[in-house]
Amino acid sequence: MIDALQLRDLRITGPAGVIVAKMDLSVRSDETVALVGESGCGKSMTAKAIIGLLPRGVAATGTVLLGETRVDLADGPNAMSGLRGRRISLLLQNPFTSLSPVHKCGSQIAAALEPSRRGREMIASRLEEVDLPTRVAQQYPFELSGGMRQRVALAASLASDPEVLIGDEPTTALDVTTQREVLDLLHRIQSERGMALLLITHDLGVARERAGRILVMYAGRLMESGTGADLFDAPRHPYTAVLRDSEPPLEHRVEQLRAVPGSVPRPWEVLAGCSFAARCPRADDKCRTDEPPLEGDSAQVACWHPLGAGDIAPLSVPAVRRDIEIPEPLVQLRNVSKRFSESAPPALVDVSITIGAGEAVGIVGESGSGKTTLARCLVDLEKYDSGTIDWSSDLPQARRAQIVFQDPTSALNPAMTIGATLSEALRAGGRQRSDVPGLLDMIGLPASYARRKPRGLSGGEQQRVAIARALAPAPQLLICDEAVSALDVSVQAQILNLLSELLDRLGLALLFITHDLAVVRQVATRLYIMRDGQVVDSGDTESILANPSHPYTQSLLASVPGSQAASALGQEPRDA
Amino acid sequence: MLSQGSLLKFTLGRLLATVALLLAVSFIVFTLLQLTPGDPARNLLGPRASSPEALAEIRDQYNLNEPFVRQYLLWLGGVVQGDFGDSIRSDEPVTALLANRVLLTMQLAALAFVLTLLVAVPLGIAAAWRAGGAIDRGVTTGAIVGVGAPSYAVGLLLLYVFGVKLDVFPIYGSGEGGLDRMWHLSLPAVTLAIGVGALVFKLTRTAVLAELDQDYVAFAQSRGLSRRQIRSMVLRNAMLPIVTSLGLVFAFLFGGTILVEVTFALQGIGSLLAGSVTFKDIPVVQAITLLTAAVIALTALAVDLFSFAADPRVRSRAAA
Amino acid sequence: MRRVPLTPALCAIPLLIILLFAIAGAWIAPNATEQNVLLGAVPAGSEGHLFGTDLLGRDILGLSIAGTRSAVVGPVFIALGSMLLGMVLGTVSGYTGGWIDLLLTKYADLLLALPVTLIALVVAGLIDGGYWVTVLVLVVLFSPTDIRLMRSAVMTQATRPYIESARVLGLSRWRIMFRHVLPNVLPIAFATMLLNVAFALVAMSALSFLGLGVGPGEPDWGRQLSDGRDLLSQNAAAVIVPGVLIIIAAATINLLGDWLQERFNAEVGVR
Repeated sequence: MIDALQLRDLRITGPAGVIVAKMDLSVRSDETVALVGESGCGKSMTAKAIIGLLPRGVAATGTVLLGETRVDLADGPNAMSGLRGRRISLLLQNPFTSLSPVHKCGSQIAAALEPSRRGREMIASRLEEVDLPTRVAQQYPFELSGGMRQRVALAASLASDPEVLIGDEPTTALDVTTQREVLDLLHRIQSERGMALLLITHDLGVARERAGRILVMYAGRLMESGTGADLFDAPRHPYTAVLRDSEPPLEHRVEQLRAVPGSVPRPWEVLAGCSFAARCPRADDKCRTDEPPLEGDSAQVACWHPLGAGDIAPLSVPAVRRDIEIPEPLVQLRNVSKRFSESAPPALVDVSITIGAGEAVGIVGESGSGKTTLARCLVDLEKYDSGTIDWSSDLPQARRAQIVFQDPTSALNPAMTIGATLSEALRAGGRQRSDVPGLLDMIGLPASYARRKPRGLSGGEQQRVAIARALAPAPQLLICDEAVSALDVSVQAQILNLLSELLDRLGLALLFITHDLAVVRQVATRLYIMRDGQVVDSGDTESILANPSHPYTQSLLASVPGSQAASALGQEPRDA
Repeated sequence: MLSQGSLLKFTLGRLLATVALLLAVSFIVFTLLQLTPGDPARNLLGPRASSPEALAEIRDQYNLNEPFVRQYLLWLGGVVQGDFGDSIRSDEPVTALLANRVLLTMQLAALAFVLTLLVAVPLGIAAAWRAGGAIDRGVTTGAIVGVGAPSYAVGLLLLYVFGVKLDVFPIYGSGEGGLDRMWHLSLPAVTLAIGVGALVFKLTRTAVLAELDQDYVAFAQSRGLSRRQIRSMVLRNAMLPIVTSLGLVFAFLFGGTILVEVTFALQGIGSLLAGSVTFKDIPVVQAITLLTAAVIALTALAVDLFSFAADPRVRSRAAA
Repeated sequence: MRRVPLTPALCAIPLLIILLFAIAGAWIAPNATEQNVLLGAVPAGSEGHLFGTDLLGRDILGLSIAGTRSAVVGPVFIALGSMLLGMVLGTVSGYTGGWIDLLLTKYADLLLALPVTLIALVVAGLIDGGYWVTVLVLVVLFSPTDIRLMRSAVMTQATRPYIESARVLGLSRWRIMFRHVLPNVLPIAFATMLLNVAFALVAMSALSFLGLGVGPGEPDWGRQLSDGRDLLSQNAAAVIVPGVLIIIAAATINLLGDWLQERFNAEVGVR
C-alpha cells in the first residue's frame, strides 16, 4: 500500500533559529502513527508545516507527498491551499476555541462542504458519524460540553473527506473519561474510512494504545521510531527509555521514578551533536560534537550508543508494599458543603475526609469534581457553607497548611527575586531569612538562584521554588493541587521524586490532588475519589486501584490510556 | 432557544437602567445652577437690571423659593415636557433656541460618522489582515497620532491649507440647502472624523486582530475553507466589539463637535454651549448637557440591544 | 527580530525639547508677553520675528515657547493626580470588593456617561476658577478610567497563584496589595499615565482655546490658536506654530505611551 502522507527532509526555521530539522515521516492509509514528544520539541510545528499553516516569521523547507501529489514546502503556504480539507485536515487541541462562538454547529460543519451538498440530511449524517444527535446542528458551541465540541470539530474537519487527518493533541484538554470516548471515536472513523491518522501527543500511554507506529521527537529532532512494543519493551534511544521510565506506572508503585536531570532545551539552543547529549547518562565527546544520523529500516534510532538488550533496565521495580496504619488525625473535615451560586451545581456536598499527621493522602477527580474547592477551603482561600474542619493543633493557618498550584509560570511573583519570595515566606512562618540557601538546597537548586527573577527559570525550577515557598513556614500539611500536571513528563518525574524525598525527610503530611491515577499511586497511601462534589470512594491506594469496587473508580481506571485495566474490564475493544 | 420573553425582559431591564442613569445625570445637571458661584436668581437674571421686582419674578419663574428637592422635581417636570426655561442671553425659550441649531450639529456629526464608517472601519480590517506589514505600521502610527491630535489645531491647519492657501473650501458660514451645506461642512466633518476615525481604526484593528488570532481561524484554514468564508466568519465575530466601539465613539463625537463648531464658526449646539458657558447662560447649558447625555445613553442602549440580537452568548446569559 | 526600538528613540528628541521649553521657557524667551500694539501682526520672516507677530505685536515664537509651561505642567499634574486616585481607589475597589467596589464602579459609570470635554467645559466654565481649579476638575474627570483600569488590573492579579500563595502564607492585606499586586501593575499604570498626559494636554488646551483656564494675556498654546484664528490670512504662523507644537507634543507622548503599553501588556497580560 502506498503512503497516504509522506514527509521528506522537513526543516522549520523561526526567528530564533532552527525549530525542526531532518524530519521524515510517513503514514499509510490504514494506520495511525503517533508523533510523541515533550512541550517545545517541535511536534505541533511539524503538523502546522505539513498543512502549510505556520505562524508568521516561521518558514519550512522539505517535501510533502499526499499519495501522488507532491508539494514543495519552500513554495510557501499557498502551495497547500488547494489540498487542505480535501486531502488533509487538522484537528486542534482546544475544542473550546476551535469553533466560532457565534455560528451554529451545523453551519460550521457545512462550511467545508460543496454548496450543493450543504443539505440538512448531509449535516445530520455527518453528526451521526461522530455519535451526535441531529439537534446539535442547531446549537451553538457554548451550549455543548468539551467532548461534544470536539466531536463537532472532528465532523467539521472530515467534511471534505480528507485522506489524511492530523490530530494535534486532540484529547489533551478533555477529562480522562471523555478522552477515551473521543480516542475510540477517532480510531473507529480512521478504520471505517481507511484514513491515515497522524496523532500528535505528549502522552506516551495514548501513543502506545492508539498507534501502530510511534515516532519520538526531542528538541526538534527525531530520536527513534518503531512499534509501540519496540519502544516500550526494547527502547534503543536513551531518551525513549527516559520517557518511558519517567511515566509513572498505573499498575504499581515504584520506589523512585527514573528521572534525568535538566529540562528540554529549545531546538535552536542545541549547537552541535546530539540534542539529548546534555542530559544523557551515556553521552561521550562524540555525542557532544557530531549529530547522530537516523538509521534503521522499520525501527530507526538516532544515537551513537544505542541501548542493547543487556543495557535495558527492567521497566520498573515495584516498591515494597507500605504498611497502612492510620496515624493520629491532623485535620478532620466533617460534612463540608459549599455552593458558589444558586444556579450552579454544588461544589462540595457533605464531604468528610481525614488526613493523619505525616500521612500522604490523594484526592482524585475530574474537572468539576470539587477537589480544588476542597483544597481551597483547607487553606482558607474559600469559605464553606456548612460542616466543620477540625485541626488537631491551634497553630496559625500559615503553619498548618501550605499549597502548591498547577501553573508554574504564574506561581511566583514576577517582580520579586527568588530570594525575596523565599525569605518573605520564611518570615511568615517565624523563621530566619538566613535559611534561604538551605531551602534552595533542599529543593535541589544552587544558592545563587536567590538573586534571580522567576522569568529566567524553567517550569520545573519554578515549581521547585513554589514548593520551597510552601515549605518555608514549616507547615504540617502540604497541599499539591495538580502540582505536576502542567510539567513535561521528564520534569514531572523529578518533582515527584523530590516530593517523596521531602515527605520522608520532613515528616509532613501531604494532600495530593490530581486527575491522574498513575501519579497518585506513586505518592499517596490513601485515596479519596471525588465526583460532582461528593466523595464516592475511599480506601488505601493499593486496594482501591488493585480491586476497584466502585463503578466510577472502575471507569476512571479503564480510561487511563495504555492501562491494562482497559482490556481487563471489558471496555470497547481496540480493534474492530 | 430564544424566547420573546427574554428579549422583552432584556430590553426592559436595559431601558430601566438607561432611565436611572439619565435621572442621575439630570440631578447633577440641575445642581449646575447651585454650583455656579453667586446668587442663582442673580445668575439667571444675567445682565438685566436686578431690581427687586425682577429678582422676585425670576425666583417665582424658576421656583427658587421652593425647597431644593421640590425645585428639582418641578424643573424635571418641565424638562420632561420640553421646557428648560428661557435663555438668559437671548430671552428666547431654550427649546426654540436649540431647535434652530440642532440640525446643523446632527448633520456635522452624521457626516463625520459616515466618513469614519467608510474609511476607518475598512482600513482597520485591512490593516489587521496584513498586520505587521509596512502599510499596517504606517497607518497604525498615523492613527496613534490622529487619536491624540486636537481637533481645533488640526481644524485650523486644514482651514489654512485648504481655505486660505488653496482656497478650495469656504472659511466661514454653514451654507444653505443640501449640497451647499455639505460643501461647507466637509472640512469640519473631516476634522472631526480624523480624531474619531483614528480611534475607530485602532479599535477595529484590535478587534479583528484578536479574532484572527483565535484557533477557529486556523481550524477553518486547515479545513480548506475559502478566504471569503474565513473573512466572513472573522468579521461576524469581530462585528460585536466593533459596533460596541462605534457606540462609544458617539460620546467622542458629541464632545468633539463643540471644538469643531467653534473652530469653523458654525452655529450648532456645540458652539452654543461654548458661548453659553462663557455667558453663564445656565438654562441653555443644562439643556444641552442633558440632551447630549440622552443621545449617548440611547446609543448605549441601542448597542446593548444589538449585541443581544447578534451574540448568542449574550442571549443565553440574559435568559439564565 | 531584535530591532532597535525606533519609537522611543524618535519620540525622545521632540519630547526633550518640549520639556526644555516647559522648564526653561521663561529664560529662553524672557520677553514673550511684551506687546507692541503699533507693530500689529506682521507675517513670518519679518525682521526680528522669525514667525511674525500676533495682533498685539507679540513674537509668535517667543510666545509659543513661553506657552509650553502652562500646556505641559497642568496635564502632568492631571495625569499624576488621576492615577494616584485610580491606584488607591482602584486597588481598594478591586481587592476589597463589596459595597465600596459597587459605589466606585457606579461613580465611574456616571462620569463616563458624558464626554470629558463637555463636562470639563461646563463645570470649569461655570465655576470659572482659573488654571488650577480646571486642573482639579480634570483630575476628577480623568480618574474613572484610571480607577477602572487599576481595578481590572488588580482583579486579574488577585486570582494569580502567587497572590493566593501570599494569602495562604498569612501576609497582611496591605502587604499583599503594596508588595505583590502594585509592583506588577505599576508598568501599566505608568504607560496609562503617559497617555493621560497627552489626553490632558489636548483637553487643557481645548479649554483655553474656548477661553477657559488660562487668564487673558498669559502665554498659552490654546489661547494662541483662538487668537490666531482671525489672523489666518495675515500671519498664518500665529496658528501653525502653536498648532504644530500641540500636535507634536500629543503625538510623541501618545506614541511613547502606546509603545510602552503594548510592551507591558504583553508582559503582565492584563486584559
